Amino acid sequence: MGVVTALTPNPPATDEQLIARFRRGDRSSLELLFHRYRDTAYRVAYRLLSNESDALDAVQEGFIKALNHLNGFEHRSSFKTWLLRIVSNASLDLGRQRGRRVTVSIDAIDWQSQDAGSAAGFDPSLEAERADLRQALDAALAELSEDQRRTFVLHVDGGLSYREVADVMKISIGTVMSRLFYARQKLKGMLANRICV
Amino acid sequence: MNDQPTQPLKLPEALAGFADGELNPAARRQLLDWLTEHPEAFNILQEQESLAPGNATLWQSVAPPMPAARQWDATFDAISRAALPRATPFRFYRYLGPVMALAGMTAAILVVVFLERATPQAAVVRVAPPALKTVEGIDREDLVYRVATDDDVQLIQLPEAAAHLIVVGRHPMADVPLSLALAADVQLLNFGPDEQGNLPDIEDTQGPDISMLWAPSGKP
Repeated sequence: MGVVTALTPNPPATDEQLIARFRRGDRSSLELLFHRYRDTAYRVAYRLLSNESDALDAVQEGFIKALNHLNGFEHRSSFKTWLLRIVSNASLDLGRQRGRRVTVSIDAIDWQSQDAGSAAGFDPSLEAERADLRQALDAALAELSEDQRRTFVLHVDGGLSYREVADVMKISIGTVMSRLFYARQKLKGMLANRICV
Repeated sequence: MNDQPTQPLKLPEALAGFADGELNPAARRQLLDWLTEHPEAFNILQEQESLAPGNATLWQSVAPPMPAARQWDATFDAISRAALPRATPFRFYRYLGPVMALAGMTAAILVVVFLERATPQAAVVRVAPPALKTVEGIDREDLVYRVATDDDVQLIQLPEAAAHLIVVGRHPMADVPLSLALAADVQLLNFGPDEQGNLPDIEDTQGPDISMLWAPSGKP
């Protein structure tokens, strides 16, 4: 009778394991941690800064600060939550310092010409459409208050739950829900028919 | 999910929680009951859902342009340089205290040893192990005294009071073995004064264990 042995791959190292190895000077653990969260951190930073270069700087600064202050990380929340708190703070600080955040008025976007182009049979590339929609969203986000914007970005782009966002911003879950509700109401109003319901 | 259902649902804000799937079952039921009574709120709920993370189509469309691989590499290099724990460089001042303490203790020990050695003590004669030559032609039963030469002895310290106890000089017979006669082997027939007229002090010449130097002068 044959014996079938199921080979189960080793489960990926947890954040805690990677952090412990990193603290012993293991560069590969740091690399794994970086790969695990760099995209999320970048999305959050980009959405708060609307600038690729600034977003990358904020990610770099956020990672360095988070790793250099691990003693303050009490493991009550996840490393991801801890990291995104620092990255979002760094992004907002960087935005204030550099003043580069896109302040394109929602009114400045040439909605009419886009509609006209579509009507005339102009078929822009998918990338161009996406870039346009992204620019519209960035402009709409810029109209939100900083608290609303950060709450929205941490939940939508950071993938944090209400409780995690509440932990990051030190507010109640009810406040998170309220901010998200009104942020979406505003965005929907500004983006009008750009977003399908 | 959160634990809001135990509290009164805040409406219409709770529509955001419903759209995000953050309400627990009790809160969801409460909200659905409210929606039944307020059908006009369905439009608001749809707007909330359109901007919720669940609208994957939208968020993929507006995904930010991601950095190139080389940009990620450069960012990671900068992070690892700044954050990776490094071996602590040797800093002499960190060890200055212990080094000074150790040096002080060593100096104190050396001073104590020096003072102890400088203090006059009883006669201390350090005798190096003599490089003796094998003496042949002697009966093993004979008692053999080995005599060190002056090269074999180093006087480290000698109080003046003990100086007269030391016989100084070279062995007159060089490599010839000396035989010591016992008192019973010698019979004193006569003795007289030396050239200066002094008579020797003879004490207890009859003791059984008294040794005498035998001088091969031809007159035992």
